[in-house]
Amino acid sequence: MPLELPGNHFDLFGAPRALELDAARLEERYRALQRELHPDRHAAAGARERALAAQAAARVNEAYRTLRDRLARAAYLLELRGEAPDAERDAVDDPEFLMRQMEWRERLEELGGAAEAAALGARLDGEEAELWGEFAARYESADWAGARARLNRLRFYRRLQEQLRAARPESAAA
Amino acid sequence: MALLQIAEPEAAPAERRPRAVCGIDLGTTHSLVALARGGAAATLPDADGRHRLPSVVRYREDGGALVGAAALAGDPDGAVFSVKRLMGRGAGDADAARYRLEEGADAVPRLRTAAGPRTAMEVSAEILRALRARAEAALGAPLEGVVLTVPAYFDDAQRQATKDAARLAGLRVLRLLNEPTAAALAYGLDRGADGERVAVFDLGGGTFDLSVLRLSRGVFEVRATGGDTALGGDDFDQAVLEWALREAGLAAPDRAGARRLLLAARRARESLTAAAAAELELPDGGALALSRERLEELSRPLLARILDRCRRTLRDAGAAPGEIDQVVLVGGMTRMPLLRREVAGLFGRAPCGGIHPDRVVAAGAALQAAALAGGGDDLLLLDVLPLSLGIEIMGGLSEKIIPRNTTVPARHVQEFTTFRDGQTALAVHVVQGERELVSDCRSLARFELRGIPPRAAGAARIRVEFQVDADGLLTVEAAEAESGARAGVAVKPSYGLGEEEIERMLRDSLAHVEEDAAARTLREQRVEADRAAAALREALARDGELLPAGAERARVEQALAALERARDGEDADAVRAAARELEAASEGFVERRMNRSIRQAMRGRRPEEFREGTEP
Repeated sequence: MPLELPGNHFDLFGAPRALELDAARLEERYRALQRELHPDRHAAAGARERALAAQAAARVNEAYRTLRDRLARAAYLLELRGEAPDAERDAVDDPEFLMRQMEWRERLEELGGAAEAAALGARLDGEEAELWGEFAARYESADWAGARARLNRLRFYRRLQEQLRAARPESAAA
Repeated sequence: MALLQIAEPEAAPAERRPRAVCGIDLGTTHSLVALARGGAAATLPDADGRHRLPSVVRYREDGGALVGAAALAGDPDGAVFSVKRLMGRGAGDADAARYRLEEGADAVPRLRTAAGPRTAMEVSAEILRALRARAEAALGAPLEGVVLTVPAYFDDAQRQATKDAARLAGLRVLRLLNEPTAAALAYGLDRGADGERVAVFDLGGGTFDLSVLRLSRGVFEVRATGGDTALGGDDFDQAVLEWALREAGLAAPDRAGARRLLLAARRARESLTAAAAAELELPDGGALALSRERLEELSRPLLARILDRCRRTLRDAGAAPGEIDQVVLVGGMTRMPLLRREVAGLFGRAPCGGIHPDRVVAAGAALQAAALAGGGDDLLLLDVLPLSLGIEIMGGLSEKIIPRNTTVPARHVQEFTTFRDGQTALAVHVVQGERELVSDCRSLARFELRGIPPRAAGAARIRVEFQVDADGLLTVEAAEAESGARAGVAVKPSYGLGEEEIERMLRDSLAHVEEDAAARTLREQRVEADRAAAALREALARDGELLPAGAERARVEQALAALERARDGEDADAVRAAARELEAASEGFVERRMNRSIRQAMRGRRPEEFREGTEP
């Protein structure tokens, strides 16, 4: 590609390679990049320029999608270390977590009123925060296997949160 | 050699003339065209003062076509209505049953007309030509570009079909714009408070969608969009028709009778917005009284489906109904009092109005066209992919490669490998939709990767790049990873037109236009040449130092001079060839400019500016 874009998402946004990023600043830089690069800013130009703009804008969108979401960002940080998470490999050998997964799924299926959903959401938030703390500690101490395992669990919590959100309006209407 | 005239950078804005561009709302039942002048947009009326052009086309046996009100007169069976519903659709689709189609195995359905078979794209092109003529008469100049609106929920095939129709009508599409986004622009909501969330509720003749937009520092972003491409005002008319037949104890009328009854149902429905009762003429000459209560009773099941879709889209946007700051209604259907009550009930706030709900989309498109052509406005629209893109994997399952609501342009790179020794070709099937089974998704395209170097099974690595542009349209490129050999990609759109077919249709359509075909082609090539020359001059005025004196600059200057000579000549092919040479000559310059843009966008960005902060 003739475009001179930094290969690393963090560098493209001029952001530190860190787990915690200021969301407002990230967004500000995203918009600054798109104001220059989005194909609409090159609508009057020739086909070649518009194609280049589309390539650049797609790359900026991809980087922003990765950096603005903590889960995707954490996975990307591991990837940069050559320790990309692999859902299948990282899921094995954790019978305790498997039990907890089943327990959570049952709770979701038997979800009663809105109050119960709120209580469940609060518990999920708490356990998720705890896991993030564990992930950060493993990451800082270069315990990649440990970090990958925490990330895998966090992905499960993300799905649970989505299921809970999807279940809520129905339970409120019932 | 001609010397380049390079304007002083500060003099450049003075040279910028308003470009001949317009906005077009290509609707299911009506279409409109609007021009923006001095920051305000207005739709253009016809000679009789009517702004809405009925989206109806009646072909004559000689191949000519009547469009709009003129096409409405006479036997309804001889005219094509609501052709938008057929855009990008296959003959086997449920919607296709509404039309008189030619029999045949062709994937692209052909409508039966007096002039012979016609595709939905050709019929739409007739409507676009009529609007184009209206705009050019108002401008007194040939159109240089248009912004065309499409329902936010349109899939890739439907968007491509719309773009193909524009091409057949000789229009250059600056951008496909989602209808709800256009409506929000027309209301000036882009100048609203930061972080404001806008829900645009758009119920047209054939489609419904709800879009949640969010405004942030002058950038309009579509957060989520959802709807139904096969649910609209026509369905309300159909419900009234079915009730009328039951009530009067009449058998289902023939197609022409049903068409008349549908028109009568629409008139009755529209008058019930203001009146409490209306009269419905029946095919047998009788009449039925239709009360507003009865209409509301008939409408409730459809409204329930619509509101259900709204709730789902709000969930996608991560917004509760009460968190929406503005509600905008679009489409004549939204005048219905019951609908306004239900929508107000859902959001807990009265929808804003004030602008004619039928004209608001075209007006917004015109504003965007002016912004794109002028380049001076700071407006930037970020759009999302309405439906997930996937590829077929083993077991007839769809693997999502770009999920819906991803901001576009977007790109996804996927590696494929071979499963047999010595395999040199690979078939890829691209689908769009949310369901797991490929058979439940919409087939977009099939293509074959050819010329893979023969290797052991699983050894070849084929890198396929899926790129979705700002209009939401997909292109595919493929290369063998190790050898770097580009694999040939022949994309066969499942329900679209091939390149050759478009070329043929262009020739055929020109044969029936009053104007001489060659003269018209030349005129279009000249417009395109002037646009290319102007764009290059502007680029040189701004970044001339990126093209220092030397062989490269000489080639660009020669190409530019040659293009300007050719455009004053009479040979359309020579103009086209000169434009291509200019594009090729300036490629390096264009790339350097783009890289300068990148450096500019990144300038002064330091990681230290990021402090630890809160998470989204």
